[in-house]
Amino acid sequence: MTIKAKKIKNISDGSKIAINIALAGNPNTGKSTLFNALTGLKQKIGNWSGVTVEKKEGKRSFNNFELSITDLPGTYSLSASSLDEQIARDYIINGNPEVVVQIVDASNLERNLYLTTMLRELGARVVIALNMMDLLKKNGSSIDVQKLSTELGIPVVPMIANKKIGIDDLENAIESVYQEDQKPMGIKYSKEIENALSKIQKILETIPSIPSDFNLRWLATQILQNNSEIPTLLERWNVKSEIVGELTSFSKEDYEAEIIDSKYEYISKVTSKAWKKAETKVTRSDLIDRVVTHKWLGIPIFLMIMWGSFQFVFAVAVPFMELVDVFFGWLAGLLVDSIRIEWLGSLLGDGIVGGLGAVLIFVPPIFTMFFILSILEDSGYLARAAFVMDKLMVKFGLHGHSFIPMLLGFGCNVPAIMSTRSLKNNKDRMITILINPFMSCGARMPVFILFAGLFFGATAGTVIFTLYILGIVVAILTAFLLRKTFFKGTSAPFIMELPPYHSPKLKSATVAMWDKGKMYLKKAGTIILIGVVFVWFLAAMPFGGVEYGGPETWLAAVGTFFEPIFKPLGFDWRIVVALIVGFVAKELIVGSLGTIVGGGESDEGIKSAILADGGFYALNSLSLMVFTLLYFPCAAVVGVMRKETGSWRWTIFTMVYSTVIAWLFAFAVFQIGSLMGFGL
Amino acid sequence: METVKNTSKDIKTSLLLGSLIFLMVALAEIVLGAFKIYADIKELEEHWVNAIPFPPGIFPGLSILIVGLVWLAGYFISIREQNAKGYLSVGIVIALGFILLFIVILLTDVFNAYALKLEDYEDWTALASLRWIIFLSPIPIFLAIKYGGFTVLRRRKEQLQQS
Amino acid sequence: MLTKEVIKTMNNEILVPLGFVSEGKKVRIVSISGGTRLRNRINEMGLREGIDVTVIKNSFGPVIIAIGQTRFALGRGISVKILTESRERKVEK
Repeated sequence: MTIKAKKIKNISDGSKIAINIALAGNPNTGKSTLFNALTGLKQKIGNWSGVTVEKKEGKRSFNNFELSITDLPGTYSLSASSLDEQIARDYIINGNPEVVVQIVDASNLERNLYLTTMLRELGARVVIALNMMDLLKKNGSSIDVQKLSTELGIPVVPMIANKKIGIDDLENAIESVYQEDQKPMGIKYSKEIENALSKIQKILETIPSIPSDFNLRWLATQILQNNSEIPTLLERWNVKSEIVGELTSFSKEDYEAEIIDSKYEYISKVTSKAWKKAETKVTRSDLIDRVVTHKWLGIPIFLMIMWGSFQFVFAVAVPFMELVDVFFGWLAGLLVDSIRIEWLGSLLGDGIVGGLGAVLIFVPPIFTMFFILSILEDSGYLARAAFVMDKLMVKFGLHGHSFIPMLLGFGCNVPAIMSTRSLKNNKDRMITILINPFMSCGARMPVFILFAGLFFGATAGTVIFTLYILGIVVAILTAFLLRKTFFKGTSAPFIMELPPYHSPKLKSATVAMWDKGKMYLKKAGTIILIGVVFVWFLAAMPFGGVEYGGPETWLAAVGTFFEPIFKPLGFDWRIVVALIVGFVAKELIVGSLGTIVGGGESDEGIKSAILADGGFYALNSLSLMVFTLLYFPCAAVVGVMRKETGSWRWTIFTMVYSTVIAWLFAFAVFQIGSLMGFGL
Repeated sequence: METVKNTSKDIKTSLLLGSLIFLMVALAEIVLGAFKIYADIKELEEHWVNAIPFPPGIFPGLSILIVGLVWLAGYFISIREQNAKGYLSVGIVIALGFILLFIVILLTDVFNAYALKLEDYEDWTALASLRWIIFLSPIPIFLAIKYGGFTVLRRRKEQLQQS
Repeated sequence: MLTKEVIKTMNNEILVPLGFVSEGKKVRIVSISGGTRLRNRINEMGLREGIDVTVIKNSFGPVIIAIGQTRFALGRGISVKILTESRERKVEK
């Protein structure tokens, strides 16, 4: 696994040499910026196999080289204590990058170099991209790049990635590293450790099943530090248990700490020769932080910024949503009217186009939300927001980082659940994902507005507000329950690096918006499309002569079948049908009620139809609203939940759990209300 | 990058004046905003609140309030001989942020009403989308220019100069 | 719950948990208690014994510290496990 240098033959036929490059580095070092600068538009985004972490790959050509660049997750170390670190480390071992470019924040040299030692330990051939040199100068520090490079035995390229300065030098450095071997770093461990390491290595050399080019010294250090993945690895190589026992007998609990210390000692030695550090001063950024994380002002500031963001999203999105709505409505109508074969026209028009419209109408708000979110994140403010909310969240079994996803859920649960990736601890993340649907999304609003407005007149606003509060309360209680039962254990300790404030760049915000939004289109779109066609099918069958969405359809049959369960909540089969359709998209609830009750799709039509209809009155509207608030989320959310949790089990659990809770609350509302005389 | 210990007298006065103005306007808008909601719920179209050309709102009022509070807190920090520049900057940024936001909303409202001719906009006039904070904009703009050199604004200046 | 622990080192210096250090003060980390795993993770991030840190903010909620040019926010739980001793010079605010 030690990556050997390659000698370049004289190539005169114009063909390019392919080099695999991995891009590594601490978080907040400008890695994404560099990746974008290197690969431009030639990027591909997917997932690391088996997990939901993003994998970015891109290409770049220079001279006669074709670089395949893989962006690794930002990590402080490669000790595999988190998913990100495991992915990064596994890629270096298995993916065989010929060169690893590590982005180092020049202002934080020491800490960044720790990752360098781990990379070299793994046998990677490293080029250091010393980024943010401009900030270094501003801070009053300086680095002697030549000396640093000599001490480390690694090429060091000073850069300012966001101004694209230093890229050419980087390319040259990559070329030279590709051709030459690198000396091992001169890290001295204690005699005791060195002895143990050589003994372990001797044993390892006698095991035939270990691949011949595997870095034995690295393996020895992992065994010595009692790396928890070692047993599995050894098992995979069919190492006999006595040998395993012999190997692991060398490890001691304190070795890991000692090794970390030795590495930092080495780093100190190196940096003392090359780095002139300026004194820590309280900066403008710190002054801003004092306000933004202020005891009393912090939370109100955060809430107002969130409110402002929502206002922005929905204001900007509405015109686009209208356009989408009108276009798809027109197209659907056109298809239904003009296609001679009735069922085909209905399938294409009502079903597919209508259904696609339901998905695409979400696109403007979701994309805008991602845009604003990435601006907030780039500016560095979101880190402070998580900080501010942490203390509150922990009391409820959540984590500081849970707050943003929960807040996003009020807009739409799809991007909200996707944003839980910032949670490092898996338990924290699972809980946050599973309770997210209780943050009532924007699509459930039409139901509230319609029924609260019709039957509660003056108190409509209060009713809706109470509903939202109910959602929050249920979410918090559920989080608490989950924490006590299935996800026991305390939250991950809260350590977070606060990146310096940057003025966010429009371009990168747009790129990020497209990245994340694209995923919504792809994943959610497939499930919704299938769901919509399915619903259409039920609503159009039995074939011929049946009114679309009328009482003779299979859809109605389904509704009538479930009706008994919902009678105690005050619902008749029509409401049940509408709720079931709500699985595809919550907006469809009002729409399908319109179809079934009559009055078409227009607001006025529905209002009068419902008022005139004996099946709707104040109390059962209330239980309907409560049920709508809490019951299972739409197919898009189910799809995203499955993707992000990686388990059907938990996804189905949420669906069942939320529906049961919805039923219980709606039941309580209806029955208690009836007893109090509010019924029909 | 300053590590100035105290806040200059100029800034102290600005903080005090700015916060008082903003707080008063905020209070006014919030109270009137509450009246407006009452009138809307009861559908009292003849209520005196509706005669105000620029409708007050509770949340827009809160946006003015938060700026006022930040500046007020900054003032108290400054009289305790500590550096309150952060408070000044944050207040300015939040104020300008909301002003920009409401202008964007105004523009989309105009678009919805005239270009798209949406139903909900039948009785709408442009004045209805003018939020009160927009009228206070001279204050943060003046402060930003006077005490220029604040991180975000200076970056913006640099960006403009480079383009 | 947590009382302010004052421990004297051999040199008669007073050790204060990071969580109780005032804003603007510069201290040196003397020891980090707690489980090995946690301690190692923190060490890897650069918070190690012998390192100087400046407390930027310490009121209500997590503590913000500065190491060089980096800013870290640490939860209360961790900040009381880090024992520090003062370094003379007070950083100007």
